[in-house]
Amino acid sequence: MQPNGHSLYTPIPMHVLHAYYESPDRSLKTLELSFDHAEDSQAFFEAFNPGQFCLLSVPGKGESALGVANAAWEGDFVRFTAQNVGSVTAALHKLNAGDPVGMRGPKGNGFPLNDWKGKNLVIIGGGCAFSTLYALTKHVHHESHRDDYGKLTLIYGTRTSGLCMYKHDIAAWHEDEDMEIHQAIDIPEDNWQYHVGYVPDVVKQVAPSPENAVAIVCGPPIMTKFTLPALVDLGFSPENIFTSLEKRMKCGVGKCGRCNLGPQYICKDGPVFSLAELNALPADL
Amino acid sequence: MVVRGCENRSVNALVVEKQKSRENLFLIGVPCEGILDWHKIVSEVGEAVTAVKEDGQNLMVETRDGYQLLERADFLHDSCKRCIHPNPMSADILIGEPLPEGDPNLARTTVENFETQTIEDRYAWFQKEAERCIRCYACRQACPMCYCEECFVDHIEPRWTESGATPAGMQGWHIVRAFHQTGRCTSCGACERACPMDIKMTYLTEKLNHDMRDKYNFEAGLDAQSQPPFAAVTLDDKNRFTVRGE
Amino acid sequence: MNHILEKHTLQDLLQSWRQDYDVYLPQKMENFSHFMPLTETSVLVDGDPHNTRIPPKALFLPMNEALVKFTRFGGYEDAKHEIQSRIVFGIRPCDAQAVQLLDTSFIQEDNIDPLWSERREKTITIGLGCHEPCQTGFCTTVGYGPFDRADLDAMLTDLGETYLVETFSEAGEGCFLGLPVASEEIYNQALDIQRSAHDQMPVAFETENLKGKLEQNFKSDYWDTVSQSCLGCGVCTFLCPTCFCFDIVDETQRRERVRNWDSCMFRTYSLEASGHNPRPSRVERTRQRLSHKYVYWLDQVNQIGCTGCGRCVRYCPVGLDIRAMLRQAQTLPFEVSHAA
Repeated sequence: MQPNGHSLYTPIPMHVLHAYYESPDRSLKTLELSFDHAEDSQAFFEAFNPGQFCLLSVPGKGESALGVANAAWEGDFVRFTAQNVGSVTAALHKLNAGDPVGMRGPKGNGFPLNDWKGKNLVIIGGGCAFSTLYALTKHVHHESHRDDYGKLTLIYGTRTSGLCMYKHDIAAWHEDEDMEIHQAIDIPEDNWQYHVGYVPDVVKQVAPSPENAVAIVCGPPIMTKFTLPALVDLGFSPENIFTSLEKRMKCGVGKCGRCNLGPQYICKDGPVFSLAELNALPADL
Repeated sequence: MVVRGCENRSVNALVVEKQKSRENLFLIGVPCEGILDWHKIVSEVGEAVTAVKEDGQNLMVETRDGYQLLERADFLHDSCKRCIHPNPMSADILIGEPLPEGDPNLARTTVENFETQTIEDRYAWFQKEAERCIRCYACRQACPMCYCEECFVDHIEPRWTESGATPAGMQGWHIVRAFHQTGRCTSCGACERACPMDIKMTYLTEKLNHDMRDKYNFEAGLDAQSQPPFAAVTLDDKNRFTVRGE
Repeated sequence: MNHILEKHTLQDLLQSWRQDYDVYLPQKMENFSHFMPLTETSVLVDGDPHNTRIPPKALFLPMNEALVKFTRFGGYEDAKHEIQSRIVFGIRPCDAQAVQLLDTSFIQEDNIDPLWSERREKTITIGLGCHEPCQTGFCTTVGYGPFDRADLDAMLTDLGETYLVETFSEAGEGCFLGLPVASEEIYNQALDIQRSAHDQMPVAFETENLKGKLEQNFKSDYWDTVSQSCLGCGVCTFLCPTCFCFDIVDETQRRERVRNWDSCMFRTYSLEASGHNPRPSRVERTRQRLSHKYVYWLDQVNQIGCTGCGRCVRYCPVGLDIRAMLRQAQTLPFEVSHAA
């Protein structure tokens, strides 16, 4: 049962507030959704924590799990960025401002923000999986939370500069004294003034200090696979390295069995796990 | 590969469809007297069966309470009972003595029993069989000719049939599965043997096989060259569906 | 309380329950028995030692059911299901255990599957113990038994002309009100039958350190060996009383979002939109199926997630036998120091 009295499987009604492409190739589209009912909004923000995800629903097409890309202080809406890869995300890409859309969530555990208080944060993202890290950065960087955390370092890589999401904020953060930001692209481009190379290599080059720090890694599986050991080599302990897992999901509530990883369900017990927790789970990803 | 008659036909049909390369296979043929259906043995003898031994034309069934003697021929799988070609026809070597060919009229009975019914009865029969389906796809996985990387039921856009164990979904699966076998089914009966729900399926595929025999003089897998009639496309095909215009 | 039920009065008793309940019991369908609603003309299956082919989990988690209805203008509402009060009669202890295991997944605090839970609440389960061992079952091996109570409301023991009825709940007692009370002597006779049935069940494999061996040999070629003849169909999982995976699919024409039984043995089960498949072959899928039952369930609820009903053994089209697979697993290397 959800707070609104409906079944676990029934989406809540939302409408598209803003819809815009993040990248010139139109492979990434951001949707900002408003709640049809105030009580759904209240229930959402009471439960919400950066790092969680929702299931967006298009009737006739199905549901797709997407990370929440906004912080609660931004206002009474929920932001998602969808890459056009399957039939549901293709349908989501067709949505425009004013269109109805269903949503279930927030789902999953989110980032353990309370445990991270007083620590330096090293946030490492790649591609469109950066969305929840964007939510995290927005949350931490906000004046009401900023004093809870130490130094803030952001490393963000994309294939091309065009595929960089949330360009407005990223550009502002480059100017921000409060934050150390390292941006990278895989392939050299004219007039590019930041790193060129894959994220794991950039991490090695930047070599963030493990001193009183936690590292959070979200990216495509291949990036995560090579970034986690790079952080261990830098001296981060497995307890202080976090990542968000992706697996095919259906129900989002730990019932359908699909995202089962050992005794855990990624949708319910995850998607955020420390490397120490991950090391104790079977290599079934 | 050690092959029986039906398996040899399946290998041939797969070679025709370019799924196997005949040069890479060495076929050891074994004439086949048919496979026993343990479901039939258990429903005759009961749960107490502990072992079954073949002894010529007899079956020696060991039970917790003693022994029972059965006649082998009565407990064959249905598809084996009506097998026409028990001998491998293109094996590289043959082990054992060839068996006499089966009676094609016997093979017709399944189809005739079905065909001679009224249309309402046929539909009721089809429904009764298809709607026991649990969509486990054991029939597909066991079929030597089902090798598609993506089966039509797994296709999302467009979705060809209802996804679940609903009447429409189950009927859709059974009818399309059978039609995909037109001119390709080698009558091995693996689909029915694999089915955990004892669903009859060969009355549909055998009907298609008979049509192929009657109308096109074709039987799948008799050699490794002949294309199934519905797959053989030539530019001078007299039907118009191959070339637009003209 | 313990009662005596004369077999020839069973039909009347079952029919009397129909006034207040839908009554489900195993009835003959083709060559097997299947839980179906009792009608006025239903014929009871007497003395069929076979369990039903489809496990009774289907009574609580149907193969296909609507979860959500699409309304006009892109809205959603809960799919409505009229769930009647029911009595399920003749459920075998292995299957009753399985339903109870599944409760731990479907009924969690703050996370309750509404349809499973409502069906469970509205169902009285009356078990029928197994006085004769079945061919492929191995309930005692995995810690259960042919007369386990699980959370049955009542259980019957076959005494020939009569049944001993043991009731374990008020609802169970309510079904057998007015039946004569069983004498001490008859009760003891039934207990003997129960004990003897338990003792007749063979030990199919050893379970000591089995979990650890499967865990520690996650990357062993053992999995290649045991999955070699697997066809990749869904028989073992669909007929398994503890397998509960489902897929969620939109049926556009019905304007419904439905759930269908699904199987970790299917290729499409774990295939991701990107094309990546974490379990690309039958080797990984077989490992998942066995590990889920013999490792992960133990981690979650400290019980083996297999109740030894033997259906997967009996109906596997290629004769794969989980008992043999696990006997072979017992020969795998195991380091005690690594065991949790």
